[in-house]
Amino acid sequence: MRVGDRVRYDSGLNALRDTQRQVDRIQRQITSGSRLQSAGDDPTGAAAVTRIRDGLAELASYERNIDDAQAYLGVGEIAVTSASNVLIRAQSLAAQSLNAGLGAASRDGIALELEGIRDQLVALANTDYLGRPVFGGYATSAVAVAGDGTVTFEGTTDGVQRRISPSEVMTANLNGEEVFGFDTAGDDVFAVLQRLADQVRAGDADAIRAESVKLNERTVTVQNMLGTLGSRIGRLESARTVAQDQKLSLDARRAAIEDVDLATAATELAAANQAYEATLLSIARIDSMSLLDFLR
Amino acid sequence: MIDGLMIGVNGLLAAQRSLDVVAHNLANVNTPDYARQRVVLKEAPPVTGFRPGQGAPAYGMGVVIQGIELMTDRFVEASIREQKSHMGSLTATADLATRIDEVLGRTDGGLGDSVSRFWGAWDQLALTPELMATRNGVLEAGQDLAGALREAKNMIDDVVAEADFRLRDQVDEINTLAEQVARLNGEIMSVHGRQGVAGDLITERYRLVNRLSELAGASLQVNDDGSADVLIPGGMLVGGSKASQIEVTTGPPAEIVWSDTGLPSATRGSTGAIRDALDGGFDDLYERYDLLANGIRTAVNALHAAGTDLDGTTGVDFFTGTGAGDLEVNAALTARGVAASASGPSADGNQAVAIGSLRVQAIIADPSDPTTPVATASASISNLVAEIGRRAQSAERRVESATAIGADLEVRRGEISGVSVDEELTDMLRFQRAYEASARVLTSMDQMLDTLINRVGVVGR
Repeated sequence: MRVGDRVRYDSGLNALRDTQRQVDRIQRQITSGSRLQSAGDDPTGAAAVTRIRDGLAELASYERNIDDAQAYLGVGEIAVTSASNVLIRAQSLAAQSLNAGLGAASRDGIALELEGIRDQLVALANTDYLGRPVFGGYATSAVAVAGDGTVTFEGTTDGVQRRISPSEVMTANLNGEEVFGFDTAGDDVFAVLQRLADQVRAGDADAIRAESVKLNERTVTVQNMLGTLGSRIGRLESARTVAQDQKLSLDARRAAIEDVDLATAATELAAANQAYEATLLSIARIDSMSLLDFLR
Repeated sequence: MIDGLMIGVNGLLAAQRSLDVVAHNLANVNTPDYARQRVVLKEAPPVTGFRPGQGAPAYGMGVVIQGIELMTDRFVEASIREQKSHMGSLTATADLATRIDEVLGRTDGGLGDSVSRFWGAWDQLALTPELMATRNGVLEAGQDLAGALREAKNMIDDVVAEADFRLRDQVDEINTLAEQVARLNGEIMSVHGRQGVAGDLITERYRLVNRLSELAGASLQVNDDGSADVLIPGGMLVGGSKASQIEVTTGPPAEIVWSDTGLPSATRGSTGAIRDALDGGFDDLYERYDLLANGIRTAVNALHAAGTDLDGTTGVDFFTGTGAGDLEVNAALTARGVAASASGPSADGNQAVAIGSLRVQAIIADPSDPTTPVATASASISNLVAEIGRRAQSAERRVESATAIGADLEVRRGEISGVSVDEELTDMLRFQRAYEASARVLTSMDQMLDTLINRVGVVGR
């Protein structure tokens, strides 16, 4: 087989170009940190990465919602806990007031304290989270005090929803109508407390007992709400854990497709450089000898 | 002896000419596509005619150069033309696919991220529906999304325009080359007529026709008179010393026609591939982006119209447009007008929640059935990116393997047509010695003649 001189040089040049291209490709990967300069580098991988990025954004949304719901419920929890505490105090006051030996002044003192507790509860009922009433649904406030001292429910019973996972929606607020007993006609906690205070002043033991029973019912309702809150907050925590785990695993998959492993790439670069050098050397050797060296 | 002088001179001339050809080959050792030439020597026949005496022996008159042979293999060269046509087509296709991949095949910061952020903006709005900041956030994310889709369509338009420009440019080059080949044919024919040698002209024609093969898928048919006809799929581009011209119609789609008659022509190679791509090759890409835009627009508008804004009014269209190229956020929509509420009160952000949930719902149709939504936006975009990447990747791979085949063919041609310096130098030695030998013959004939002329009949002087 004849081998023309040009053919040898051309073969050498082609080999040189190929090895150079390899070196260049790996260098670009290392400097950009990404194995995918464009979808053509790995079409299936690129498709997967696109979906993964959207999945990560979706999880970020859930995490934001979980954070918000947690803060919302947290505020509610504090309010309900305080309410529970003052109601327990009210219960104890009511029991105290049944003491036969109390004078009018002491009874008046108890009544005042009961009314003070009622006012505290009004304030607690209107607790807000970022300007929204925790117990008032979509309204601007949960309860309002009229001129004659009666307390009415101004809120709505709508639940503020937060999607915390693809399959779960959490209600982040509390139903004020239920918590404060507005769903029992005339026996909401504020009315009960007011009547109790009046009866304590009047010293009517039977009436006091009757109102105390209702007070106990209201207290139990509030304390049950604490249980509900606790379980909701628990579900939030597990939803958060699940979301974080999923985020980690998605990101790991993304990195496996997209990210350059520097150690591997550096080794590949060294090998490519070696191939390049070897090609250069072989080209240099192509024309070390010809007949010209031997003719006079 | 006079004959002897002639024989010597013939030998000298033959050796000289042979050395010239060797020198020509050596000088062109690096010329691309050069085919080496070789002197064909033949014995010069005896001179017949008047000769005094009878029965004179017939002896040859030395050496004569029968011709200068161009060392080519026309089958290999035909294969090379076919390969170049194939390569031209594959390279043009790969260029287009790679351009699309570069502008639309991004995985980060691309369309996918814009769409994702759009859904996220609605999720944010759902948390604080009364805040102007989150309302404006939704409008901005919408503008970003619309911009990304319009941009995608514009980029495809750009690639199409570039391809059209390149097609016209290459057709111009084809016409110029055709003229040049026709002129060369004329020259080669006249050299043949004069019994001359046309080696370099033929090599030049080979070069030009190779480029025509790459551009137009041309093939060659050599005639007995030395001219060669250049044929493209649409007909005869060059017939002898006459060249036809082709041109590109305005389109779309752009068609290739003969300039003189306007009748349709056809090419393969690079121009063939570009013409095919321009004839609907980008249609499905345009369609997919349109389906994406329309799917998002329809779904978002439907939910937006079912919600109420800060002032209690029903939501207007969020997006306007008919496809990807004209998708816009409704210019009449203000931050207050964003319909985030499902039941009316401004604290209700459930309509925003619903719109944000479109992220995981099938709202985009497939080209196979444009009326039925079957995929989420993310899945649709991911399929699009994969398709774009696959086309670029497979086109590149085909170019690579064709390049390897092309390189092999060049090696095979080199075996026959390539110049080997060692070989030429050996020939040089050969002809040098032949020259010296013929020169010595001349000297010896000269001495004998000198004896005959100057020394015969000089007895006793």
